[in-house]
Amino acid sequence: MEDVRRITIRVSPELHQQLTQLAACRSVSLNRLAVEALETYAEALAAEQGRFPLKELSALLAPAAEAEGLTEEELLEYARQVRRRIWQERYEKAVRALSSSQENR
Amino acid sequence: MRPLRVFPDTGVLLAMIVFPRDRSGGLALAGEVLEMYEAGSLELVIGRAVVDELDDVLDVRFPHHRLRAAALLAPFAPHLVRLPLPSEIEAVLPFCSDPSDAPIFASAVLARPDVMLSNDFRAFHTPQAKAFRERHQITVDSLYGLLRRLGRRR
Repeated sequence: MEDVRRITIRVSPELHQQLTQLAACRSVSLNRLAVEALETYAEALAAEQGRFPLKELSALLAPAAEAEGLTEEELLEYARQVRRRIWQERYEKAVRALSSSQENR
Repeated sequence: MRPLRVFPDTGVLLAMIVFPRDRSGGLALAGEVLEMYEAGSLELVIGRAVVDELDDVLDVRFPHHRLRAAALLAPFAPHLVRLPLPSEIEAVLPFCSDPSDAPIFASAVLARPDVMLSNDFRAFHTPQAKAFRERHQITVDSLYGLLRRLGRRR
């Protein structure tokens, strides 16, 4: 027999009636309908977690930038400085060493 | 039809987050792209290298919001494109007018997007970047170019 776990959920009489009717319309059991609904919901939640939180970050940071009078040009120039610093600190030495070793072969 | 897979550069990501509206309050190009992402019209593939830069910028320019921003970003970590290896960065150096852009170019190669999105014309819209596009079949587009591609501009 397929490995299954049992859960018990409490629903209002109205929702129970609605689900029973939907199950009948689809010619599936109430259990099958509930399982399909839970699977769909779980997939939607998982997909949601894969969405980059741009809107939330924007709601947090756009008003802060406006309050401080920060301009896009200033922020992008700072981002460029950050890129150069990260390159120097994390990557440059290893990449240059690799280039040198290939030239010496 | 699947949505367009777009790999944003850090500058574009910052523009979408911090400057979605222009000074008059209207929707900026970055804001339009943000709206299209929220509507599911495009998919963002984001590199760890890009988020590392974003983290550094937020640390310094938005210190009061750093913890909240980190909490928002944390659940997305498993979905990020991994950091490129030194050999992968070295391979894209010839396509970069500035070597510090190489980790981002290498991340884009790993992400295999339909479009690499950048408004940095000094770095990503150069003859070298054109050679990168031809070598890796990755289109490098600006915000305006992406909106045209998506039928939002003529």
